Amino acid sequence: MEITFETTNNKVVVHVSGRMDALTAPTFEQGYETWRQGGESAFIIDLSALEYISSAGLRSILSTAKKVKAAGGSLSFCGVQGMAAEVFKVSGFEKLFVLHASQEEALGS
Amino acid sequence: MNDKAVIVRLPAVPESLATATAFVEERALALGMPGMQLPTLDLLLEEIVVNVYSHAYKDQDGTLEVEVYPQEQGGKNSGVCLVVRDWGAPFNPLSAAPPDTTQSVEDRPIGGLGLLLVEEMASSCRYRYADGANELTMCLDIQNETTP
Repeated sequence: MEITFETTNNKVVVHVSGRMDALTAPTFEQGYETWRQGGESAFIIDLSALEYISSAGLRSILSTAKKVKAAGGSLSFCGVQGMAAEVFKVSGFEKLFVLHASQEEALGS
Repeated sequence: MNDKAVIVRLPAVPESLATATAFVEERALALGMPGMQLPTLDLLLEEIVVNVYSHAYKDQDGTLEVEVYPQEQGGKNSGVCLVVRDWGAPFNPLSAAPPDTTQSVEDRPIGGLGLLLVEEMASSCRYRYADGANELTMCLDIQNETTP
């Protein structure tokens, strides 16, 4: 799993690629402490290059989302595709979060 | 046992996940599963292997076994079946109560989604306790790439 992030229009876009599994997923949650340092509170997680996610990935996302909410921020997703889309559907994450079709749409909202 | 079955036996530790995944992927491709379905197969394996190394043996050393065999129909491979075995206390993962997937971010408990994903994403699942082992079999039908 690889994570990069950038700040655009006062929003932080976090790009997650590769495999979010039991061994790598905790890195995502740990990353939140870094992304929030610029003071922005809106986070867009781009999963367009994510190849794989298991319940460990969902756990890490939910845990991060709870921290973001508790801090008064927002967390949404873009580019959810492939098996990640199925995992989001089955787990109810599809309805739990705002899913944008693209990063452009996410930044415009 | 199916005569086309292959088995790997590994220590029940997190480091075994990568080995088990590589073993299952190689075998599934050889049995005709398209590459696009491998992430789903990997998920079935991961959820159960993680459960085994996290819960089956408490703090003791243990072993897990992964078996892969073809699901055959009309002389052709119609799917791939995975069997995960452990020798911990009897536990039927398919009997666990499903989590509430409609709660809000604040109310939703962390965790508990792995078995739900397995039951929903596998084409079929069955559990049995035999010869001192928990044995979960999960089959995934091969999808024709032209008819998603």
